Amino acid sequence: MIGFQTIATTSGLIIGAVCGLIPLMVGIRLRQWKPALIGFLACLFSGFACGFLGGLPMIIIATAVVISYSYIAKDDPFLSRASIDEVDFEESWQDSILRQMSSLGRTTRAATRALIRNKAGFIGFIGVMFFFFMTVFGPSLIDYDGQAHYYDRMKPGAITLFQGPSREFPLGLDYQGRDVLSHMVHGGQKLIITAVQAGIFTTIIAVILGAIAGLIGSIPDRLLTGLSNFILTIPQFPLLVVLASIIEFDQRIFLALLLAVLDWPTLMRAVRAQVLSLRERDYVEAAISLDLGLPHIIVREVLPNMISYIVISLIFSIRGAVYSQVGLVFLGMVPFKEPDWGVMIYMGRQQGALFLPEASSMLLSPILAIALFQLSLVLFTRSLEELFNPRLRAGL
Amino acid sequence: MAENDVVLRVQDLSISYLAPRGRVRAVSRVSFELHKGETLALIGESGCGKSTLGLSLIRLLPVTGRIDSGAMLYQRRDGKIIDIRKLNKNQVRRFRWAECAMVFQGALNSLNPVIRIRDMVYDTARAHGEHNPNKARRRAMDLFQRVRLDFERVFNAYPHQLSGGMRQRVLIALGLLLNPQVVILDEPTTAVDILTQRTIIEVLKSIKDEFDLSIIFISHDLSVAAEMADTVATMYAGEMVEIGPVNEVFYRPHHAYTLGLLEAVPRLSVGAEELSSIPGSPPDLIEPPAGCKFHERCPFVTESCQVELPPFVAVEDTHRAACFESDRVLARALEIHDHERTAR
Amino acid sequence: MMQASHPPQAPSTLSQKLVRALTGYTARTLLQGLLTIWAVITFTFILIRKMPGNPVDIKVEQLMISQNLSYQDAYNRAAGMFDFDPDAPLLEQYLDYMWKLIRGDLGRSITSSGTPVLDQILRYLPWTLFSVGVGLFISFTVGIFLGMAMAYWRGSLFDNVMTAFSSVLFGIPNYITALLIILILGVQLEWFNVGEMLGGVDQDVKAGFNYDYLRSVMKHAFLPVLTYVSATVGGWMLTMKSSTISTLGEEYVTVAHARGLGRWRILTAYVGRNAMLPLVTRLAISIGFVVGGSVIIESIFLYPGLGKLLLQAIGSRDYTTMQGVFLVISVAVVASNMLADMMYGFLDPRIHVSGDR
Repeated sequence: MIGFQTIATTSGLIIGAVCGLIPLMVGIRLRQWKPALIGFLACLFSGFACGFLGGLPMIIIATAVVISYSYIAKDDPFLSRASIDEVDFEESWQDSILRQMSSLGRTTRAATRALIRNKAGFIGFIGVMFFFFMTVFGPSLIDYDGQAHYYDRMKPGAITLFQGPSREFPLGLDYQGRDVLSHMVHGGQKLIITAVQAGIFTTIIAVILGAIAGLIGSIPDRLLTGLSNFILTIPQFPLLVVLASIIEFDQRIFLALLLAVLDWPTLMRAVRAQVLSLRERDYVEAAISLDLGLPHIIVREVLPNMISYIVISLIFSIRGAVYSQVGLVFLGMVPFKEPDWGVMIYMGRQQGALFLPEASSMLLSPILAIALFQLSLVLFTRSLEELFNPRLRAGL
Repeated sequence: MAENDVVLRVQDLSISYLAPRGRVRAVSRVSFELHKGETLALIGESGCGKSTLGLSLIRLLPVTGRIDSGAMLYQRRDGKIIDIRKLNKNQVRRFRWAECAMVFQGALNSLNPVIRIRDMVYDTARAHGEHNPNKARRRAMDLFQRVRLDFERVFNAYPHQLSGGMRQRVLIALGLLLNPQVVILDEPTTAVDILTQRTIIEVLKSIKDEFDLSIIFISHDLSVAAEMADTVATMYAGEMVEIGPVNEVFYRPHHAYTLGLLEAVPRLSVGAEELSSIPGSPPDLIEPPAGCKFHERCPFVTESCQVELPPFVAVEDTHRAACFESDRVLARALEIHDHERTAR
Repeated sequence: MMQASHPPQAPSTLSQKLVRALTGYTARTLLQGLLTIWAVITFTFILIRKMPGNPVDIKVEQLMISQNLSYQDAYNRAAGMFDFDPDAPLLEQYLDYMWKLIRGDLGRSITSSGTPVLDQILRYLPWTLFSVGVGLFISFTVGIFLGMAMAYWRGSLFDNVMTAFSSVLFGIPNYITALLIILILGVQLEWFNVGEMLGGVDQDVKAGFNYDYLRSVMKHAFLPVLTYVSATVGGWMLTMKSSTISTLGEEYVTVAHARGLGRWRILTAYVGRNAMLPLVTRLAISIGFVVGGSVIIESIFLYPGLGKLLLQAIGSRDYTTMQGVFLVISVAVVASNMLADMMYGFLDPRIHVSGDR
């Protein structure tokens, strides 16, 4: 669908420009020229990369950053110039939005600062960005070499179609004489998207279930806790393997869903603990009713406090999802189509690439890519940890 | 050391810590002497350096701490004199606890939570050469009785099974295990409630009488010091500002800070009046003010106080203070006393 | 006067000890474990009978096509293979299944006609236990020592290098490490002959407790164990380092130094034992993960363990074996979790007190 791809396209560029107008205009109105320009460029870039998927969230973030530069809380005793009589401590919904946007903006700015400070985290961030660029922009630069080249590339005297790295093919050729580099560039996308989907599903499920368990308590709580304990104790990967052999996966998104179903317990427990601690407060007890209270409480109280933990947990979920996906493909449990890093490893192994020196490139490339991607994610969480744990921060 | 009954002599001791902002002068040029059987109370606010001083006596400063200058001399029971600063690692280990023991606050964290009390006793005994557990056990039994602990129950217990008061008494008993000459007590009554405080003080008093101990009692609590001490020293911002026999310091103080502390103790006998305290807060120890460190909060401050550091001189026989206005301080103290006497 | 929060017990009588044992932490852990095992068994039962892509139905279809049977005949035949009575109500099937399980009957393999699943499992189980157990043990011990060393020499070159090294190792998935070991160390650098090291043991060596056999076993277990260790040691090192650092700051360590205790004693009983506690809780989780990963790793190294058996069964659509192996794997993980939890209760006396928590 146009606008919802995760590959750089010209339509994406247009979408990005349109999205970018919003922070630009807000910034001009608030007379914050530099943030306005940065916001526009950020939207342009993310729209170009991911169409609406990138542009829309970026609107919110960029506008938040712009607002945060000029926002002064009316009831902030240190900054506000309003006299105490003028300050109305009840918030209109517009003020509420402004306040939350500016807080989001401040957090984003703090995040970028923290990113640069923590060396390990910065390296991780670079790694993640590298893969992001490769999977989003790479396909436009390098064409997919999908056809088998049986004879036209074979070197004289060679037994197999494998080839090691050369000037023409920097990553060599695979078992069908195809360019490994092109497979690498095209093959990461679906893997990463499915992993991200799994992470998002996990987060949503965990937050909702955790909130329910914490707020309602008694039977639903016992059930959910028991269920989460159960899921946690069973060895995950064997279960996945067994399930994968029984269930057919026509679409990757179902696999993402399945991964999420096995992954939610850890985050759910943390959310539940947080909700339980909030329950002690009187006003929450008053607001406990499914219709009105639940979403209100989750959004206003639980999430803001836990946002750091949730983000880190999301990244770990993504990491786990990559692990499980590649593992399943590697064992041949899930028949995904090429190009795909996992499939490359699988086919390589089937074709005996494991023991042929000249075939190593076909295996090493996806292996190293996966290893580096996982590593980058782990390192990236370091900088996030430092950001969200004030004790580690050296003063902001 | 000239006199034979001086157990510990500290001369011109200065200690500093390395902090991110700079060097914190925790202790500045402190000198005093501790005699046999004497109980010296070190009184001061948090952060005045009294705990640091205590730690330095057994060379237990953290890595960031450093003894900048001065001497600490200790005389053993057999007369031999030891320079504490010059001990090597092994000697320090043997010096600790056997010659000089430090009793920390009885918080839950002072005792290793995963081993029993008896193992701590055995550990200490073994580390100092006593490998016979029965001897250690008998000694511990004796000591536990003296600190009024039920030996059977406590000896085999884990720290978390004991109350705060019991833990403090265990620490005291442990401190006496090797029969040291000097015992340093760091705020022994701070973490407990008032009833337990009473018990601990009584225990300490009875121990003082029975054993041939010199005690350094670190606290911010003047009233406890009054009960236990023979000599009282007050410290402020790392300096010792007054030292003298307990009665003299209490009834005839010569330093404004000591007077301030005394005035701040609420008195039941004099009826309802405003609680007095010392306004302001302690100075920055990284870049301390010139002159007397107390001058910014002192009601008797004069110009010379702001510029010159008052010398620590004798104002009476064994009583020293570092104050230019000690006469006025003394006058005010006597005034308050007369007022109280007539008010009764 | 004695306000004790946890009054120390006077020496207890036998019956008191018994009551304490039954309500204590150990008993509760045991109970929880058994409950989980029951849940796993029930879950596996439902999985095979009622899931979408129901293996029974698949088998029935297969039989109908390949042997041209009517649905009823095919169903009965399948029921025979799966060893259950298809006409009985579900509850009765379930009870029958449980009853067989308790007696150790896991059914028969569908493909290797008639071999009891249990026998097959028992043949492969020791290999997994051996390799995973050795791997975990080495990883844990090495991790603890290195972690403590890193904490003691914090900020030194050793610490920085080790931290970087363990972060990298920790970030890479275990099967990737396995493949990298083969590709780089084996094929590119030729440190060892990979072909020789696959499989569980050399074929020509006689089984038994003789030197040749044991040596061969060790040689073949080397690569899988190396993989397990590499994948997990980084995590232990980093966790132990941070745990030791916070323990070193505790007051009882300062007091221990003040008491003139020797460095070694402080290191083991005061710092070590306390710093280790958080790691023991992680041990339980780690076991499940390593066993799970063993499925792939055994496949890579052709190591004859339960993981390989599972994959084989899946490949040949041998559902009864699959079911049995999955069950055993799950039970093994749950049991080791229980063990780890109990070990924690043993190590930390604060939990040991009866029934409080």
